[in-house]
Amino acid sequence: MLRKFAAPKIFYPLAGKLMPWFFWTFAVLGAVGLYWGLMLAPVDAVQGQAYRIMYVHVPSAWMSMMIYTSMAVSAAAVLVWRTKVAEYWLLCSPGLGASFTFITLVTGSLWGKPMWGTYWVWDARLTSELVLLFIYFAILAMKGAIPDRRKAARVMAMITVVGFVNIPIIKFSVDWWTTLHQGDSIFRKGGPSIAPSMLVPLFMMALSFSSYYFWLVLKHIRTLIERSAA
Amino acid sequence: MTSRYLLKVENLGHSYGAAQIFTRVSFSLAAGEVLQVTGRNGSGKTTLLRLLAGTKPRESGHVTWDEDATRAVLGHKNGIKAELSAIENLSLYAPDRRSCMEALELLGLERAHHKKPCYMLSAGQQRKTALARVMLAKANVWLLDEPFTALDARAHETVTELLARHAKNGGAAVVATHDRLDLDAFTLREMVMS
Amino acid sequence: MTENGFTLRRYFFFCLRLLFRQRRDVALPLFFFLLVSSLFPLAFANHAVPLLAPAALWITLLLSVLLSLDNLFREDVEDGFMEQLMTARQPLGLLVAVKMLAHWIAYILPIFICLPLTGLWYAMPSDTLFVLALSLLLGTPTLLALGGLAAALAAGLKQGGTLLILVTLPLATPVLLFGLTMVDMSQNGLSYAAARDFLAAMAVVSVGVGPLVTAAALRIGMD
Repeated sequence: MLRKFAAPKIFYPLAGKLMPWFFWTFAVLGAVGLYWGLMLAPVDAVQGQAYRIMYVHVPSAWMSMMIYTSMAVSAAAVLVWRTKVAEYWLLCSPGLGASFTFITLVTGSLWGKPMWGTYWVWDARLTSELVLLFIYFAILAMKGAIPDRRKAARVMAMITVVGFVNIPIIKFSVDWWTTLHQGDSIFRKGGPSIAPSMLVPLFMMALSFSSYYFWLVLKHIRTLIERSAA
Repeated sequence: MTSRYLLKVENLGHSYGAAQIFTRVSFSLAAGEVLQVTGRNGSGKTTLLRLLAGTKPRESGHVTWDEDATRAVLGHKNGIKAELSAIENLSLYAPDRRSCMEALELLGLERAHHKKPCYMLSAGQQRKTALARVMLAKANVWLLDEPFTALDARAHETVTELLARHAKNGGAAVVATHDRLDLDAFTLREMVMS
Repeated sequence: MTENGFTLRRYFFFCLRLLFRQRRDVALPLFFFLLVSSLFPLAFANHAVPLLAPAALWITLLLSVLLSLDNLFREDVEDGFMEQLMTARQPLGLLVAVKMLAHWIAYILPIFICLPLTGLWYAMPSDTLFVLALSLLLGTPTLLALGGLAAALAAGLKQGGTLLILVTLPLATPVLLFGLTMVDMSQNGLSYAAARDFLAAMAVVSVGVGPLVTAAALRIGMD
């Protein structure tokens, strides 16, 4: 019995120690990055002010994929070793993943309107992101349908892994299909490289977003550990 | 070396969420033995049988089967197909029609009912079909979860006798039931889940 | 350790016999396929129909397959038959493969037999119909594998049918798009070999790995 609770027992205080670090990284870098990106960074030569939405859009897009990858890793741990902390990780992540994916799609649309003149294009990147959102929804739906948490985690793990294998194939298939239909691509390929003064705040935002994710997940997991111990 | 056993269980435990239903269940089962598992509702009899059958993933402890052990499982649910007749259901386990009919008649399911689709049979008759399947499986370890549900008195007696014969022929069984299994023909042990 | 002795062959015919007894239920997805595929040419203007036909038929087939998969494992879990499968001597993966083969014969083969009829409705040239049929044929193993996995995970759940669709559809996007790419290329006089090979490769992987993954999913679903 002890062995089974060993991992959460170590994880619980460790998470407690890490949480403030993540929180302050999120808060400080987020504030600085946002101010820098929205106020200080130079205006883009081609896109004008509209490009600034990138400071939310790009980190969110990275997060949507990073979270899924972290879920795939914990899914493997759940299926192979039935690791408890990995189960918790899997239970806590898809909601946040779906949120970031949703933000990516919304900000992308808002950015697309001034740039391409339309809110939505069935382009490979947008479509894959939309399918990713649907996969997140599917995982969440399964989570909601199964009352037993351990079983829910294992069911979610199966879908996560199959989805993970599937994502590159989805991307490829959409890419192929759309190039077949939209030979005159709306996307500008290989635009001007981004100036460092634009790039630094972008990385700050990315770090801030991931810290936010880690902070929230650790917080959730600690609640779940408390609840299972009670 | 250790004594001959068909099934050995060590420190088996299971929990649903935070609720432990049982821990440290240990026993071994040798040929000729019948283990009766009793206990109040919710004490984990079905869970124990499902862990033994392997239809539920084990959380802690060990279940060791002898090389010669073969299982026949009767769960809560009968595991028979409602659209197929008793004979058709059994034919999956034993292709020989005659032995299927004999097994059914032995359990008291009259010939007139053998070819009807099972949804036309009563609960007790369906249970008899499922029990006939256990007999036909020719396994030496029977795992029976409430085998007497819906059975009439005569069938009840028949099943007890079948258990005795099974044990005498070198078989063993784990039976979860509240009914008394009093026949002196087999070594009966009782385990109360608490 | 050996278990009660049913052979794969016997199980296959058992499945077929059972599906035949349930033929009224088995006919429903086919009926759905015919009904929905008749709606498209009816609802769209005449000139749009040829353009639309492959996509409409593909999506309709996709939904029909999902509809049929709802009962792939549900009844087995509910009536306790799944316990017998799980304790059988044969590996569960093989039994699942056998069951899926029977399922394909009972549910999907009839749709293929009706395909020429729908081709008529859509006034589809015979070579396009052939490529479409080929793409559907190569796509169904992957659809069955993905849907079978979802059906196994959802088998014991209340909203199982809806969940099955929600889980399978996003994962099935590539099958749909590769299939349509194939038809599209052949319509434009291009070689569709690459898309066909992709679908075929996915079908091979699905047949090989699908039943094993589905068996693992069933063990999780039964917990």
